[in-house]
Amino acid sequence: MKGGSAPAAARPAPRVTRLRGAADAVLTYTVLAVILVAVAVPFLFMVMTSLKTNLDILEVPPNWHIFSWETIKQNYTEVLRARNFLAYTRNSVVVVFGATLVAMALGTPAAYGFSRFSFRGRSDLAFWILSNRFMPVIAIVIPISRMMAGLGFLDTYQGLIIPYVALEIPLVVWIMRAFFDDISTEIDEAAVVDGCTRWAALGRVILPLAGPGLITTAIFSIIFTWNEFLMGLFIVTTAASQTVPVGASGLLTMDRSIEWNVTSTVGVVTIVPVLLFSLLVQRHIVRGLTAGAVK
Amino acid sequence: MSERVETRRGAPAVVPAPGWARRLENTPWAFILPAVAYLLALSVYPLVSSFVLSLHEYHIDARAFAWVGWGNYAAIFHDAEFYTAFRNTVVFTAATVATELVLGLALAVFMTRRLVGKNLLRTILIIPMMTTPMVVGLMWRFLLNTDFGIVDYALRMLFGVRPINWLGSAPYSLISLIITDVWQWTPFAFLICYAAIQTIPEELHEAARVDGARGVQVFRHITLPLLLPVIDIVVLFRGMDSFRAFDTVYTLTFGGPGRDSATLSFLAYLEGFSYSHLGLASAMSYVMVAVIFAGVTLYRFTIMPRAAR
Repeated sequence: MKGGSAPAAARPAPRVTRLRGAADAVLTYTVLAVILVAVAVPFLFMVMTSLKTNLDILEVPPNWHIFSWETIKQNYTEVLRARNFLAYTRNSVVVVFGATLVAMALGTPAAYGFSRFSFRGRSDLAFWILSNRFMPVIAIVIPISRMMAGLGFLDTYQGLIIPYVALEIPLVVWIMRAFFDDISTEIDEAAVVDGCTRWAALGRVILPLAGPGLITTAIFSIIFTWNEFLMGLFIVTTAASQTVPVGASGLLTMDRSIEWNVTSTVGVVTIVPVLLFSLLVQRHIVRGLTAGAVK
Repeated sequence: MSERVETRRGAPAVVPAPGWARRLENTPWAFILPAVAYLLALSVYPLVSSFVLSLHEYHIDARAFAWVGWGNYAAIFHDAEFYTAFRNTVVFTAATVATELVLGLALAVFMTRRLVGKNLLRTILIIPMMTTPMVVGLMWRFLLNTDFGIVDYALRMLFGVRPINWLGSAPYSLISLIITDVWQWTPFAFLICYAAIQTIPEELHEAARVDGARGVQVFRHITLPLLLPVIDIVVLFRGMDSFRAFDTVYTLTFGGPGRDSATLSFLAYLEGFSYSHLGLASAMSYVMVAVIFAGVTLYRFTIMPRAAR
């Protein structure tokens, strides 16, 4: 293969190139369009359904001309007020921010420790922390719900926050460590030489530099906790303390048919906060996803 | 005490820390131990406790708690539903990981072309991943509905396919779960592979082309080998997540029809939550723990060292 004809000579005539370019563009934008449709359609249908009455849903192909402000108002008031989703949203927000705060407070120093000290068993210990992320929640949820019951924490914010922190620590340690590894060790060494303790070096010098990392990590923790379902199902036993996903699951009683318009409205109410949030911070999401994986 | 802290904040160099603090200063443990202790208490302890539970007959309503040794394990290994769930979980995991990896990789390679709207596409692809999984299950339950779902309608109009009972008949309910998972998580494989592709120096590709390699060969001999470490990561993360799939099973099929599309997580949930057989549920989840432990260990000791090199 070596020393083959010069690439320039092998190129086809300009006219053909233009045609191939056009074919290329068609292919490219077809793929883009397919992806766009594939992602958008499920959301589109859920939103549309949330705007209809339960009877209109059954029309196939869907009728797009039957929206009325009355129906929309009715569906959303029912979900937010009568079905308490405003309260569930408040529960979720408290739990999400509580758990994220504690997990960051515990996980960030650990990430710093793994990044800055070398000691025997470091990679094993770090990997063990990460491996907690893979453990099936179903395998720990029964003892945890019994623990929380023993402490009297069922149906409380702390009863949800305490186990959620355990689910998030692996995530925080792993992502923050990748960000700390990107900051030169000379910076904290200089701070220590200047008389800072290690903790002060972390708090005053390194953390401000790791700001984007902290934001990214918090974002992942927030989204992850907002979406968590199985643990919540076991900790929450009364209607008043439900988080949004747990509340949403209450609509799926198997013994009667689903009211699709209400269910879809619940779906919209559940994902709108997390999607708006994700879109606002999408740059960080890409960084966070790739921080641990691509080095 | 508080005075000294204040002094230290003001003029750090002046007041030397006590000896034990100095010693602790120079070890990582003060930083690492709180997180480790927390995980020991709320992850390891429950895991051990779950194992102990799996050796007991424990029915929460009957207040029965009796040692049965391996009895629960013997029981589940004679249980046809457990085998179905195990097979479902393995099929689901293999199918989702393979499909997501191939699609994600193809898309990542595709996106290296010059094209308008790249960033828009990336934004769009983030959305499914961030959507609450249980709601994703709901959305697809609507789309796949036999009576008024758009999927069947589209198949009928475009290809004349006869109506398929997606969620209510045996092979299709598991396929529905796979489709849903692929929809949600292919972007994960894509984003990771895409980020990795961009770190490959363009000269490598050019050099290969100058040496006469063509598109497929460049991919096979340059791109793919360099992507192996991140492919391993995608397989690890997606594999472990798929293996413990629960949320979409709950909202899309509820394991149905019957238990035909139940995964291990879901079956253990039913036993524990709906039937209150906590011992049996723990034994089931411990089979999962064993498989995941094996997978994670395999990764740690065979694949990770390879990637580090």
